[in-house]
Amino acid sequence: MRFTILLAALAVLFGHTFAANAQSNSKVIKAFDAGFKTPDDFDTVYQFVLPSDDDTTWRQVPWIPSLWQGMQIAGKKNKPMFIWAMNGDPLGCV
Amino acid sequence: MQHQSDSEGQFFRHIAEQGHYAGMTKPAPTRQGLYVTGVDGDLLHSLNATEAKQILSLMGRGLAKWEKKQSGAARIAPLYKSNKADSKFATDFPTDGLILRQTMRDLPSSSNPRRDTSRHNFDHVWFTAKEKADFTPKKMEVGETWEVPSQTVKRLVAFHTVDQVRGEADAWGWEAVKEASIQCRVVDIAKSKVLIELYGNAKCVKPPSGEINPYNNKKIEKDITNDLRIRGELLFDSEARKFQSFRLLAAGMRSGAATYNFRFDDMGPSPIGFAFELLDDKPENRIKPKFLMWEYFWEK
Repeated sequence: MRFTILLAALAVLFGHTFAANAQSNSKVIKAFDAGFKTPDDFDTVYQFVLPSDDDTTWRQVPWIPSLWQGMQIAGKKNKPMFIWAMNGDPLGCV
Repeated sequence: MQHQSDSEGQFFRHIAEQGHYAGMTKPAPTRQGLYVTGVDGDLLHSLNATEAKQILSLMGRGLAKWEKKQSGAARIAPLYKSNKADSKFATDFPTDGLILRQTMRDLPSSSNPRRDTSRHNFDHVWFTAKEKADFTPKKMEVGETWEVPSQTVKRLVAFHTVDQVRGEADAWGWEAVKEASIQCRVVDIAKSKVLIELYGNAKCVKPPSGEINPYNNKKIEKDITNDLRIRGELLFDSEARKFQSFRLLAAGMRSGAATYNFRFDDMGPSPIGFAFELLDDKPENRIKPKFLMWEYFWEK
């Protein structure tokens, strides 16, 4: 019984999320097709492109933009370093 | 870092040659990836991945190895204790310039409303003081209109409307930019706060390079194109001579694939958006944009 309730709850939750996403997408499509000329349409497409807070929790990391600077800090603190050296750098697209 | 002739470059090459692409020359000599290392130059773990689970595993394995080998303080090798930065890779931020963050993402369409739009990518945009001034009105009057100089718009379009949602691609060459225009209009003024609206267009076409992706042997046989509308809302403080907000959007249709942007299964046309927002001038925001003309930012 519990399992069924859980399944039903999940179904409702996913159904709700799916409906919300579909609604959000249809709003974006409408605004895009209209050329996002009005402030509301502009905002709809603009906000859709920007990442959500969940997408960007990594921005809370105090990244150090210079390897040499990072080496000095890690040396003083006797810590290892994590180096992100690829396209898709969290701080830019270098 | 791979090519820098300074301590940073030397250190990076030293650890990269112990890592996942050590010694690799084909299909490409890249050393890009994620590295966990000690400051002594002893690599702990590395890989080239974008999935969060893989990255977490890399960190965990690197840390476990670090804890195991710890016996006293790790030392930075004397070679790396001073750094005379390689001037070829200098990243001087333009005096009184402006930093924007660019986010690019695929958009849903009426023909594909359930399109996967989760992947996105970032870059920084730098404007010089002169380029910044191109977006500010000469007269602080509602109705004041002006055209942003074509050189500024063309550079923005060439460097910052490149489809890199899934991977990387070269900047549009100047000759590929067929249209690039932005008009500005003051729509409201409240004390020193000036609200500006932007309207414009961008169109780029790059003929097929014939280049072959060495990883999947796919050949670039079709034009790469985009056709975008540009809209924006800027808030300028005329007393402080500063932008308080810089919301710019370039969105429209793209088509074609570049060698490394993972579009071979999605040649389009399909919708794409590039959104720009103002960033504070902080060290972490001064990571240089992917595309720079070396002298451009410090000759002006």
